[in-house]
Amino acid sequence: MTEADCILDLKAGSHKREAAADALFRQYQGLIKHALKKHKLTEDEAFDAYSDTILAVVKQVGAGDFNEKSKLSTYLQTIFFRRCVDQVRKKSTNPVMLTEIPDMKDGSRNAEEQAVNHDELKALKAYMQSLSENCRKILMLRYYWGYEDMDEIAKKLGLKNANTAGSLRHRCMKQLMTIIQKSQQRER
Amino acid sequence: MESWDQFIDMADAYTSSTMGEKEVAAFEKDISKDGKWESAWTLYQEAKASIEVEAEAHVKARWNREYMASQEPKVRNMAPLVWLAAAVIVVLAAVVFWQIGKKPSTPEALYALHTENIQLSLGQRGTLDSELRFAKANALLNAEQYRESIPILQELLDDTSFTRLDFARLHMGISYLQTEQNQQAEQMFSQIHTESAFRYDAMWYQALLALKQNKTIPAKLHLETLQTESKTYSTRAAELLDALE
Repeated sequence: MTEADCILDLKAGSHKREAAADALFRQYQGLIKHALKKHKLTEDEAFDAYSDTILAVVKQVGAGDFNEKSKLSTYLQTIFFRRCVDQVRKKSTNPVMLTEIPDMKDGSRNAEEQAVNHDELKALKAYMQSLSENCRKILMLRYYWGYEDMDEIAKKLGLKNANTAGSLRHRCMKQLMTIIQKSQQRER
Repeated sequence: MESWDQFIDMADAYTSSTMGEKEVAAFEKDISKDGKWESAWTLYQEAKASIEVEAEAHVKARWNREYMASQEPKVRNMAPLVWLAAAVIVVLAAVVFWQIGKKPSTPEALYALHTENIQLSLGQRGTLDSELRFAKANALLNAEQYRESIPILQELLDDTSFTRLDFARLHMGISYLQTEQNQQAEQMFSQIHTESAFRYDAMWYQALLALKQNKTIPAKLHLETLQTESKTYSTRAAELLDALE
């Protein structure tokens, strides 16, 4: 897949974004081995850094926040370098020189932010876990992968038709919002 | 806005920038001034954050499975050879202990042959009951009836007169491994003493078990130890380590 096609598909949403994300993941997998050697990360750490990188790229490009002035591969490798440094910093007492890290925003949380917001992330995950499997699937398709055609969602989930998918989407989103509301009320 | 469904549709349109100017202004007014829709907007954003966290975890897990599978194609191809090696060890162990002259075809025939031999050396080996159970267990193992061998091996482990505990543990671990009871297999192999004559056999199977579960890192640790310490497994461990690289 060319970079131009990848960018177009990530922006397009739905099955194109899913396929482009998977293609991107497979295309640069060699970076994991590179991280094992260069940054002395474990395989799990290198995989985490790499998969977080791909997710960050998918998010930025999908949201239209990638300015396309640099090549997608350069952008991806820069984010990956930052992620590897994050992993090293997590387990090191010596701070990594910040001047070594190129200043390129990728919109995703770095390791420190993730550590501080661990409880918040845990809560966010728990909300979705309270929903049925079909609810989780339809919400992820609609709001993460950008599926907008209810017909397409209905076919993917084996639902009767687009109307059924639309109703389910509304019902599941309301359910999720209600779960969050009740949880926040309990905390007060 | 009059309903939650309408709010959700408008919030979707607002966040995807598909609203007209007037609609945007009206929506922004509602979510900043109207208490009910202001709270709803906060909840909507939280909901989207929750969806993102779940979706990313889901994708990462799928990619992890794909990545681990892609790292071990040679191991998968070697799997039949690895299981053949395991079967050879079981057969050789049976030959050493019972001096099998012929190969019976059924567990009952094997059991009968082993009890015949065992009576001749009863004084050296232990009680008749434990030897009979041991013979039966090995007969079942030779016939690849792993599930059936497990309760017999457990009886041996519970038998205070039976002394070849590590041998029984090894074969019980193999039987658990063959019947997809991975946790129990690991427990059995871990119980084999570090000074036992079967410690490297146990380590080999622990490596295979780890590979079966796509746990490359513990598998490599076992294989590296075998490569340097065990004459029996050194070559095979080296081959597997090469395949894993």
